[in-house]
Amino acid sequence: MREVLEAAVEKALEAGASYAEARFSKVFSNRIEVRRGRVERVVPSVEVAGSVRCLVRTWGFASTTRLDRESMLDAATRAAKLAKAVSTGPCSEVRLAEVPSVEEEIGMGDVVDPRAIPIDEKLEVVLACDEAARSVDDRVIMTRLSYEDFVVIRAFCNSEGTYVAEACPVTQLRIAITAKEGANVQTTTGRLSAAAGQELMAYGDPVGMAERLAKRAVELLSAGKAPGGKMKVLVDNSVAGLIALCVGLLASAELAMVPGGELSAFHGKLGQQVASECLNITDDPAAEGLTVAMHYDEEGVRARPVRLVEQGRLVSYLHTRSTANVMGQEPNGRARAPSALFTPTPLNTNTVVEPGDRSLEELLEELGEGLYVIGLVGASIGRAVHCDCEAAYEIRGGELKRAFRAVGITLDLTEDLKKVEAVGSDFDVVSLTLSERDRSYPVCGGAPHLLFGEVAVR
Amino acid sequence: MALWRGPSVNSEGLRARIEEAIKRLSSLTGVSMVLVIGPDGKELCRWYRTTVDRSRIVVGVGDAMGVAVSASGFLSKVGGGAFNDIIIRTERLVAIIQSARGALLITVADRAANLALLLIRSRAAAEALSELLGGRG
Amino acid sequence: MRAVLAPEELLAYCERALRACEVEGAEEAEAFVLARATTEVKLDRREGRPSLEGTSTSRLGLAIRVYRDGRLGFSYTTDLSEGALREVIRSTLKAARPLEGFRGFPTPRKAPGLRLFDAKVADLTEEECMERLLHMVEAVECDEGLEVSSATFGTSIIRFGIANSGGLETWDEGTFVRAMLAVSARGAPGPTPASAIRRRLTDLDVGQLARDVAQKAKLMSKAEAVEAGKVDVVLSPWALAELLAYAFSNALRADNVRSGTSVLKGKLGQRVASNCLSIYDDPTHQHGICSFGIDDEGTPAERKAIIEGGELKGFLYDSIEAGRQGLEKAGGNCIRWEPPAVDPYYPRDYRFRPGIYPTNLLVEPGRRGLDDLLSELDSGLYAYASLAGFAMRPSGDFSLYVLCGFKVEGGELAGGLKGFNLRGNVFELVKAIKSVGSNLEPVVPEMAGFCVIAPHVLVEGVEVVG
Repeated sequence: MREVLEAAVEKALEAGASYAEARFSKVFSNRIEVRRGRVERVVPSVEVAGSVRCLVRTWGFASTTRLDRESMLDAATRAAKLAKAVSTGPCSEVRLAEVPSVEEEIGMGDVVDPRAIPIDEKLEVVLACDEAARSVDDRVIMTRLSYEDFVVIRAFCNSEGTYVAEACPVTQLRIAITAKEGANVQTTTGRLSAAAGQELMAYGDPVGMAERLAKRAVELLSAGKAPGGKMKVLVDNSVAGLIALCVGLLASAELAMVPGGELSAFHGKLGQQVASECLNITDDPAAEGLTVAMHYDEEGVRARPVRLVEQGRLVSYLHTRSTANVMGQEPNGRARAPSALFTPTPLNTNTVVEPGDRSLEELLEELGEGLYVIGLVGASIGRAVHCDCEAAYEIRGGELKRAFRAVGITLDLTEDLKKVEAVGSDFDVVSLTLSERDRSYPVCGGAPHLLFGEVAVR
Repeated sequence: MALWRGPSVNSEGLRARIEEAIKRLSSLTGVSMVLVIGPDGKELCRWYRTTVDRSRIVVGVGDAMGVAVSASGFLSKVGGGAFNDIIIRTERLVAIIQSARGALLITVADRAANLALLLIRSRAAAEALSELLGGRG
Repeated sequence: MRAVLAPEELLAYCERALRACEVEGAEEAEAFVLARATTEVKLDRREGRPSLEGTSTSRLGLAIRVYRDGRLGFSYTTDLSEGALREVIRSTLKAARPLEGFRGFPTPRKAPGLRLFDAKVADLTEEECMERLLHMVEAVECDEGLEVSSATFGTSIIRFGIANSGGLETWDEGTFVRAMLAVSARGAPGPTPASAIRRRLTDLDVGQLARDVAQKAKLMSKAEAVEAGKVDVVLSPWALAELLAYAFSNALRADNVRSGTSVLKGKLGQRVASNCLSIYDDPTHQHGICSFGIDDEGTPAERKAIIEGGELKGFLYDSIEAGRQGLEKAGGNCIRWEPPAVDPYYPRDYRFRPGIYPTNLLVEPGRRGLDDLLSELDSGLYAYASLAGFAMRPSGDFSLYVLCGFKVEGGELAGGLKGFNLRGNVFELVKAIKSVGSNLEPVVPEMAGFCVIAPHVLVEGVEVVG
């Protein structure tokens, strides 16, 4: 494959490009969906893709699902033709920040390769989780289990002498349980997700998780509705993890460059206070056990941990080589694409809030009177972030009182990050898939419990 | 771990039902041995995949009980209750000692066996056994 | 000329796949091969910096369905080597699920294929695409108060082949040309969007598109907040398509009717919409984006009445659902698409499991142009561009965010409005349609796998929320 990629790069240069890169990806995937004991989907698939991207004054890009030499050389020719045609238009010249050239191949590591496990065995595990959840109680009316595993093999080569290849597994299971009694409906969700193989399904104890979620959903049925309004709120790891993830997303240079956009809260804020001083947030592309494991990005740049927020100040954006050049900053290897069929865009990976020094007891004491919100069920991310959560506990005198169910909180990330008063000493993660049109990216947010001075609860 | 004087009559009928309960577990690829120890500490059933496994895996009731007793001692000092399962992995194999409410279910398998499925089927077999044997832990 | 594989080559892949399925032990099998080639040029303005990019995608993939021992499996691959094919087929057989009432894949019928293919689209060069893109941008920016924040122009070609173990062998092809613009006026709350997609090059007038959106963008520069309340509204074809594409079209699926989740269950022959509304599923329409001579399992295309004069006439089937219900019907609405993914040119693909959806949902046009409808409205709102209606509930309850709307006074567009929500229930909305416009626009909704060919409509008493 390396030979074909290098030939494609050569071809693009011959055809008139000043810089060229060729990529290859192969994704083996399995998707299983089970609802209420019924198997809704069991789909194994293989997707191969190759592409060439090259520069004249601006980009031309061509992709193909056929990886023979002829098809890749044709892609190189198409990309160069497009680059030339488009470069005649009124546009700023694209320049790339300099990076060292590198050669490296990274294997999958010691994991249980999902490709070695027959799909019906994977289905049996998912069905066992479904059965365990439904047998907890008759009031469990709906179970939604969504399992996916991928093995992603990527290779990259460019006209500056870089060649990198990387193979990575991803396994994830999402479970949503709904219980109902009369007019009360309660949903709980849980997720197991890691850049890992089948061992995740053994050690993550998915059956135990399904059972616990079902029990919680039933328990919460008898809880009442939380009061709405603005109040002091302690959020658990899942909600705090989502907030971390949102910070990572907003740090994408492409999003931050657009003034007035839905997700441009960080526009023009480099060096400024965007969050409370007790928050330190880092984006780490290869942290052990998290959802994303990316050593090199889609431009062959080494992806290293990037400190995004330092004591509340925004200190870095996440870049591709061209956004780094536009903003005069160091490239940090965040060019991501779902496969070689897509052009890369700067995006976060695993964004984590550094744990602080408060135990849960201390946080509750500091909260005094307010709400302890737990269990992220879902969220919509835009100008405001709306989180739907499983439950909340009323806190009075620093102690847990009544439970409330189906609680929602709304955060305005331009303001509410500054209202964090204390940071817990624990840590856990939540993983999500960000989708737009036909692009989807796994991302992960990790955080300790966070205490907010004021949050809107609905 | 308490012993309970239950049906120590190892009748043919009971043995057949025990074999039925461990069938799915033993049929999983990579499983070499399954051993069932009753709530009274007596060996109720022993299954091997091949004759080579039979000569190679010589673990006895005493060996398995020893691990269970040590584990219980350990757990009593870390604030835990009775164990659900004990998983031991080496470079080449996996051993699971599954509690079945008084009875014990021991499985030995290749490291390459599907651990997620192994745990699920071991648990299911343990549930079936504890119903059969009516044990208390 | 951008090339995609010739029909014979596509069918050859299908044959290879069928033979491999047979060897692996399938009782019945179906192979679907799709080749697609898209070329697009795009302009973006960020912080005043214009950036241009050209992309070209070429995809070829194979989807198979296999049936054995009462179970049906599905999967797909873009690795078409012999080894990979065998592996995928084996996995599919392992992944197969029980299916009742399966009568086999569709049998061969005379289906010549519509072949709505315009060589002019296929032959368009990169330079010609750039010309059209720049022409659109210039047509807007000749007005000083306006700036194009993004613009796209592109073409797409698809060709697909289907073969099954029952002897069916058929193919079809299509071309698509698309333009998109977002125009910002000074002082406007956000950019005003416009897009158009056609099967033939000469049907797409980018200059006209640009002039229309420029006119609307100027009205948005002094946008005011809307007054909440119940108002008569003229819905644009794009807004109407977003309303019809989710709960309403899902209710037309025969499998949803059988399982009881369709609101329209048991209502055949009854009045379900205003008597001026007639809706057809028309896979043969000359302007339909999803017009082909066959559906995605090879059943010949046929126009079907869904609603006529407000009365519910029929539901949509594929061959499996028809078999399940013991009906003699052929089906005809087997569509390879799964929510929410959408390719802006042609939403269907080998990656998606076949399900029941419309092809082109055609709303029969009336006789009144937009100006006449606005006159009839006299005073009210014109909802032009909205976000996707995808989040609406299966009951039909919706809250549609209109990002570009206009006040109508004295029968004319009087000024832009800041974003507002239209609330209601789509099954009630179709009963409140008072007039139907004459100009049809083919729209592929934001998150739907089919085309809605819609006119403007005037709807009475819609709830408007600021």
